[in-house]
Amino acid sequence: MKKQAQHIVPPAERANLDLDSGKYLVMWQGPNHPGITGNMSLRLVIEGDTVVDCETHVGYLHRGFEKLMERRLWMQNFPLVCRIAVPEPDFNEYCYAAALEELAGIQIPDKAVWLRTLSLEMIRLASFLMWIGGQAGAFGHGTIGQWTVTMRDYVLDLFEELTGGRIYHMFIIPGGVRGDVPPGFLKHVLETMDIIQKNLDDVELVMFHNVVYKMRAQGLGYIPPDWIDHYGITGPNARAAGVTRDLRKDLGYLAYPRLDFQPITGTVSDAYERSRLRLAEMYQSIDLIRQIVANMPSDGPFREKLPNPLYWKIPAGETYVAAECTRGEYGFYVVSDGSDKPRRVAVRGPSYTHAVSVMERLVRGVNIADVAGLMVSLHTYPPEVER
Amino acid sequence: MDIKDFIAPFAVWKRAFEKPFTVNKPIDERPGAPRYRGFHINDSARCVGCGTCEAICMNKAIDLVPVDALKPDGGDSGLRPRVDYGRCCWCALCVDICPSGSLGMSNEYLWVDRDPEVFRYTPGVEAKPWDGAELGYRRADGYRLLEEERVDMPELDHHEAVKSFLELVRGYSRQQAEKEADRCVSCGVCVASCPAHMDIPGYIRAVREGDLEQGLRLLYETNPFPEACGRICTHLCEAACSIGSGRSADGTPTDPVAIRWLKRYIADQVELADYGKALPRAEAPTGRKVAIIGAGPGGLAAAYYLALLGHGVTVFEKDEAAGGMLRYGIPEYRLPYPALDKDIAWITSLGVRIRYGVAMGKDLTLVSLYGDYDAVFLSTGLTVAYKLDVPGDKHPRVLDGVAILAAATRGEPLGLGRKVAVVGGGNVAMDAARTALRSGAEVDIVYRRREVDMPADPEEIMEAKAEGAILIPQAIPLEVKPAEGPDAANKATFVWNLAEMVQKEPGKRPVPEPIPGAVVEKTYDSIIAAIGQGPDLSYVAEGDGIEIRRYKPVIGPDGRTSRATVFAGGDLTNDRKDAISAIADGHRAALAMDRLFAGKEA
Amino acid sequence: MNQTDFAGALELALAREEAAVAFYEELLGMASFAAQKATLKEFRLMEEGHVAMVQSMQTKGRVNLSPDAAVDLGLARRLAAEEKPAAGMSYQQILSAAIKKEERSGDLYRDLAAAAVDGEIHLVFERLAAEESRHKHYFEELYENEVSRDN
Repeated sequence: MKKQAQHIVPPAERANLDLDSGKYLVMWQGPNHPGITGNMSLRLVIEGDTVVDCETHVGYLHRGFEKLMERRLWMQNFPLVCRIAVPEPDFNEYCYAAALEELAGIQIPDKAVWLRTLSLEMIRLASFLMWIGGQAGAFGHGTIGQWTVTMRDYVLDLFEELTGGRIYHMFIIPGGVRGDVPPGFLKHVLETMDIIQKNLDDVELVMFHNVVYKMRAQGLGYIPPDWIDHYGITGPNARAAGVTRDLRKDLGYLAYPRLDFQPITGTVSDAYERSRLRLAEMYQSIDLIRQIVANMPSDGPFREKLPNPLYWKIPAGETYVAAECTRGEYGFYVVSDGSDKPRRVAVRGPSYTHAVSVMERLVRGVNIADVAGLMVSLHTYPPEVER
Repeated sequence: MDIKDFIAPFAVWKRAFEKPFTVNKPIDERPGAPRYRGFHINDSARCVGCGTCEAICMNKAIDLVPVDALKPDGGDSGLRPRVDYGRCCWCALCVDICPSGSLGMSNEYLWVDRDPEVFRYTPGVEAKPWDGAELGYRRADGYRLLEEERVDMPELDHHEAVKSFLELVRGYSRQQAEKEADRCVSCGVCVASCPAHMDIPGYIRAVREGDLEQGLRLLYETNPFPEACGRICTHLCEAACSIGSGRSADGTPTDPVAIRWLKRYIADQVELADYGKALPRAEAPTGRKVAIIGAGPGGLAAAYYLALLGHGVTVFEKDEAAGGMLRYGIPEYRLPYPALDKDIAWITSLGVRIRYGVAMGKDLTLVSLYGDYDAVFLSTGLTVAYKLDVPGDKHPRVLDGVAILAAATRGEPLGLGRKVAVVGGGNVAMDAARTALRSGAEVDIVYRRREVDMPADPEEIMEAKAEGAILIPQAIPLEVKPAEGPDAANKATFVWNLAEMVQKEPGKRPVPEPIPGAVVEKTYDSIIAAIGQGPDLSYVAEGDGIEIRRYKPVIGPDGRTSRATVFAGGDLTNDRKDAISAIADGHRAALAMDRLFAGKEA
Repeated sequence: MNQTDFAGALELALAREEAAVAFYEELLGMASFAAQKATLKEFRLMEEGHVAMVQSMQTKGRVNLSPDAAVDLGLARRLAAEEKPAAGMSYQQILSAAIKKEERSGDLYRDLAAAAVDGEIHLVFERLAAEESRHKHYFEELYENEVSRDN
């Protein structure tokens, strides 16, 4: 029973539907729905069990971070930014800190560079581990989530040991990091990586060699290569389409230029290919973490002394600092007017593109049962859509 | 699709036979990590209630609240941080910034209660199970948000300094001053400790922001001697400074902000010609006249604030120049005369008249002033040097420390000789010793108690020693004998008994008790007595209506004596016996007189 | 004066205290300005209190004084002050004279106590000596805190 997946490109224009005709049903999926990745909702128009139109709705999670930051001291924003993308707080911490350091002309110590890289790779792994549970669960395979969320908790244990917090680490502070590794920590990291790798082998076997998963995921949510630049798609969603775009390589920030890795790419960006690619990136993260542990200097300062945080003023200027998060390009645009508070901070989360624009188009023509799986396959986080 | 895709999923079953990841009682059996950011702990005895935690908290989760058991005193506001866990985000910036290092976090994360109000509490004051927790978040070694070391003050090398009367402390550059000002957290704990209650956070902010005219304005609000106090103030503020309440990684105390040097920086940077741009001018004349006896810091401070309020002021000064002990008691290497003159010049520019060479009792009586003036301020200070009070203390080579310092100010030859003993451990003794060193003498400082008991400023003691003075502590003066040998007429032999310190009464300081037989004799060219000074109150007659108790006019809280129109202040009445207290007294008396006049007019 | 019985002992003490009052009285005669006079009057008042105290002991027929001697700060032994300062006397001279005077009284009482055969008389003089030591201590502390501040 060989079946070649169909790669259908949904039309660019929305169909002009007569909703009063009795042919269609308008149905809301979300904001509270297990198939929605966070608090957003889709207004679906269905015909039979096929979605013919969709409008994405956000606004359920708006906390006004960008505005709040304009009224807080530069250093006071450091515990605030991590909350913008809950499952991956560290990318916010890094981008914010790096932007400030660039504007203020601060060089951080090498130890801090490595510890930041470690922290970013650990959270990448943790985030993917949570995502894959959702991806499998959306197609009815709940067991995978039970395994991988446990693995994620093991990574969070590591974060707790390193930073004192499981979810919000608040470790990457402007000027460096808040502490060196505690005794025995690096050993725990390596042990945990071994456990996770073994479990990922099981996941690979059970999830990716699975007829149900293949039948439902292959061909679903196909992103044609010409959409990449049109919509500004980044990260695994773009790499699965064969685009070699990885900021870790392209920008070469932190310790990445000193690590041995190559961006992973696929051929056809559908739900299956994207999930395979993310699995491969999990293995890549494990490999990077092992490289970091092996290469990180054992001592030296981990933070550059900064002026008194109560009065710290940053010279007027603006900058954009980006990093490759699990979902693609994550960036902070920071403007200083020379005062002790940011004039403007704008956060660029990849989910804005993926969850709002791309999703709206991709969902047309999809079976209602596959909407959740499609959305998870784009790996979106509504918290970063709404800052 | 191949056959593997049908079979592989069944591999999940192998997990059914493995040990589960989950544990039965995860909460009971899982303490937070050693660095866990759990509930706050605060060492209330170390905390100084500065509120820097409150200032950095971006959630406004911390409030400084009064604690009944604590009394505010110099360096402790008597407040303690209360944490509201409805707002706290557990970022621990409060722990990171805490100047005293008292604040930490336990690794405890479980707290269940039906009453929502309990989740707002004062750590270290309201007892909690996690108090004193060993584990939990502490800021890491090598990681501080605040700078613990002060900017080094450029100073003359001691070998160089002792060769001349050049000012030892050179003053901060702009960059140094702004860096030092950046260490301040504006907690204001210092303000209460300053006798004059200067707006210290305010003027430090002015330094930080480069607005020196604003800084000068703030200085003059409560102190018209910023040049002098910026050099020789006893800086109680620095003892109170919260930034000095911590411990560095090596266990030594952190440096308080150099508040005094920042004050000096402001005054030094603004030219006298520009003072007028920053400072208020005198109000329209009220017609009231005030006589001030003594042109020291107390008297001139009163004069400044009275003149500012529009009252006519005449200062009567027995010496030939103004400044009192600032001029005649403090050597110019600590307070150069141009700096003092600048302070005085601004005061007199407000129309304050100083009549020099007028000695109370001789040239003028109090009664005559009562008729001519609406109020009188007595600030005659402590001009009588107390004697050694040992047999032979009338020997011509026994000199008095204050007189030596005054002679040095006047540029008179000191004639101290080559070997000098200074008896005493106060600032006058240190200044006399250092003046003697500068005249080329070898100096012994003979003190009755231990070095730690010396009332002089620690830096004066340190500098005197660095400049070559030899400290002989625990030496009780016994006698001054005529010297023997060649040139005996110009020498004297000083005899002292070495002492051990005996704790005679609990709670009081130990008493030097002579060690039998440990008597030392040494011949000096000069023996300078600097054991203490008293007032010359011979100008107050019984009929003047001023109650005096134990050589001190009795004054009320506003400085008023038993006679309604006579006020007193400065060293004469103030036990602190320093310039800043005298200035505060003068300011206080000026305001009280103004109220007095207003009451009369009403 | 017969100091071998109780009445005689108190008689002697009374004369001693009255002499102290006269001592300050004499100094007061020499005093020229308010500060001296106020201080001497205060000290005289203290001695007058002592006179009244001894008189009350005479009336009641018993000594109600604490036996606890005060700590000796050792100033009396080394201070060189002449006992009777002259007209311009400073606070230091007045205090120094007062300390010396109390020391002398204490010494006298101690000598008398040592010489006393009668146990009761011995006790009376011992208590009086203790009282003088407390008074001396009071002046010594004043001297230490207000005169000899810097040494």
